[in-house]
Amino acid sequence: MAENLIKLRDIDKTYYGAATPVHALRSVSLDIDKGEMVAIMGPSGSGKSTLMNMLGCLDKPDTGEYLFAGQDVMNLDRDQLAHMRSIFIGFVFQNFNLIGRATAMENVCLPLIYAGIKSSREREKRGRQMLSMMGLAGREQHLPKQLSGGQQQRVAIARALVNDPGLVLADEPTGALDTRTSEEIMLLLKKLNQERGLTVVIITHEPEVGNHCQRIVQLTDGQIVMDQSLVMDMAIASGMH
Amino acid sequence: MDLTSSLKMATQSLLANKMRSFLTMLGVIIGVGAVIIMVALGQGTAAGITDSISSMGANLLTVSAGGGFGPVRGATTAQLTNADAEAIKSLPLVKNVAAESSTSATISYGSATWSTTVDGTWPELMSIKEQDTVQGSFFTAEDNSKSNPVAVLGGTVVENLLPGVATPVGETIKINGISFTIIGILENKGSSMGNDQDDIIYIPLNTLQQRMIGGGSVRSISVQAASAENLNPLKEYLTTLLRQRHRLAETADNDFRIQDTTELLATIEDTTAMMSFLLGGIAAVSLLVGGIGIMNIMLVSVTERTREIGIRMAIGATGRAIRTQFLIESLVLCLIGGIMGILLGWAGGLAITSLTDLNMKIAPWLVLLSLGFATAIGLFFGYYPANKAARMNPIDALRFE
Ligand SMILES: Nc1ncnc2c1ncn2[C@@H]1O[C@H](COP(=O)(O)OP(=O)(O)OP(=O)(O)O)[C@@H](O)[C@H]1O
Ligand SMILES: [Mg+2]
Repeated sequence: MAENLIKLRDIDKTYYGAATPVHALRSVSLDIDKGEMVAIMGPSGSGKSTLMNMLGCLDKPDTGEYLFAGQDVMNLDRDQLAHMRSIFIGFVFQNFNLIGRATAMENVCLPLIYAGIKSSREREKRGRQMLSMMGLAGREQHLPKQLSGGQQQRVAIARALVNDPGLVLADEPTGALDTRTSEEIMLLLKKLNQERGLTVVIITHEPEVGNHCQRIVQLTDGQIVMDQSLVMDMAIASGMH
Repeated sequence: MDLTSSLKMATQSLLANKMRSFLTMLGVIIGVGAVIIMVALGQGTAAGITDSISSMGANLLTVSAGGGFGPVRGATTAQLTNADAEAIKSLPLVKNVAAESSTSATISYGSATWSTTVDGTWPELMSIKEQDTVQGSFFTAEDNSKSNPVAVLGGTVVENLLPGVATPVGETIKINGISFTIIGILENKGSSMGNDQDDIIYIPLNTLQQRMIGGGSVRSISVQAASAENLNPLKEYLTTLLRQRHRLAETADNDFRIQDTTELLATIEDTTAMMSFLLGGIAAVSLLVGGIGIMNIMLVSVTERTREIGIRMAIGATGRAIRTQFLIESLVLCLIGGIMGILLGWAGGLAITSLTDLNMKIAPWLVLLSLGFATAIGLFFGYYPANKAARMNPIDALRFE
């Protein structure tokens, strides 16, 4: 039995910014174990990004219960949430979200600065390691604009992983990339999941991306309408050969 | 977040927008520059006035004719005489007395001519002014009592009247057509408050009175006390003596004035200190305006970089780390601006002093004060924008286009 990492119970989130309140999430319950690779799919506006923000401790649900590795997130303050993100969570975004005037190396080392690692030598060592693991050795001093989309996304993944978090959250990580590059990025994430036991949650529109995952959670209108594990299918499929 | 990383991040983002950073700094540069120039010139002027007053002599009372200011009362214009000066000599507490009268005259030597002030005085004047000769010597009491036609020249007069003459002492010059023998050249005192103190000729007072202006009146009498504590009692002795000698009635006002240089010095120092702080205050207001400029640009920068702030928060930056980053940016702006402002103020001050007779004095405390002020401005005006950045909601910041 795998160890539980995320436990959501009856999560509600309503946005009051607009003229009429938007119920972005309604009574969502979800469990994710350590080492899982989960795709969250659903139509636009169904609440995927909202859910990811909750999982990533960027925002707190209005009501419900959220335990991250057994820790109650609902009662944490801003600084404590920042600490959770710093230590346990890495983000990968659709548009890479690198800091434009900082080099690949500086981007990757940033989470280490915020995590309080004072020795710049130690930071650079880990940054270099991470970049070469992503196949970007020799690109350390490149600015984001000097890199291709796929390379930028790999820098972003290196940045998400540099602090050795248990969970990587990726919001449409291949949305801005062509099919071949998307495939590369997905294989990379899959490899990290399999070889390092990293828990990966990917939001996507693309079925091909979903097919790389062991489990697909389908959201519609703020509710989970389907939670399908593909492990069995794959096991059966491999058993049939 | 450690300081080195913060400083590196701050410089990086300031360098990303060089022109804007410079323009933002300009307010602080001009503000600090203005403070430096204003205060340094004020201080320099004060020092100049103080110098020129103390070059008149230490512990000095100057007696001059005429009571107080305003219209002269009575028919007779009061005058000081040689006899008054002689009488003062025998007062207690007196160290040196020198009577003085002067006139302007045209001096000639061969075909060269020069117009200057001819000051008739007693030899004691040199002890009072603590001035020496570089060639020859000053005239003696005997020169004065015999009304000898001897002259002691200031450096400026020598330069203009006898250029290239190796030993002017012994040469004969004509003052208003009367022949004088040069017996000494004075050491230079330089100029103070735009007055060239070396553009002068000293001759014995009696010589001046008898050969040039006639009569036995003197313009002023310098009375040096043995020490500063003796100044006030000496002032009273002088008053009593002169009132007696001038036969003034009990109710009559003094027909002479006694000026105390020490007192004058204190007043002038107070006044100039106040002036320089007033000017510095006006300059500080411009620094304040520079600070508002910093705040304005920092606010723009925070808004522009909303998304960056969101990214930083997503990867673990606390509000405090974000606030520190922006505060350091505004501090770096202000400190660099402050340093450039000090250089500008210094250069501007040099330019002004070389073009005018004003003096400048940049004291170390002034430099430290300006830097401290710039730092305070950076912290004060940087705090609001930095705090605004720190309090952003990470979700909204990440969604910002
Ligand atoms: N900050 C906000 N203020 C108001 N409404 C919001 C806010 N964020 C999201 N919403 C609304 O909440 C709903 C869910 O948004 P969310 O971004 O989670 O959708 P999504 O599934 O990620 O869509 P997409 O696939 O287009 O990215 C939408 O109707 C959206 O308009
Ligand atoms: Mg979304």
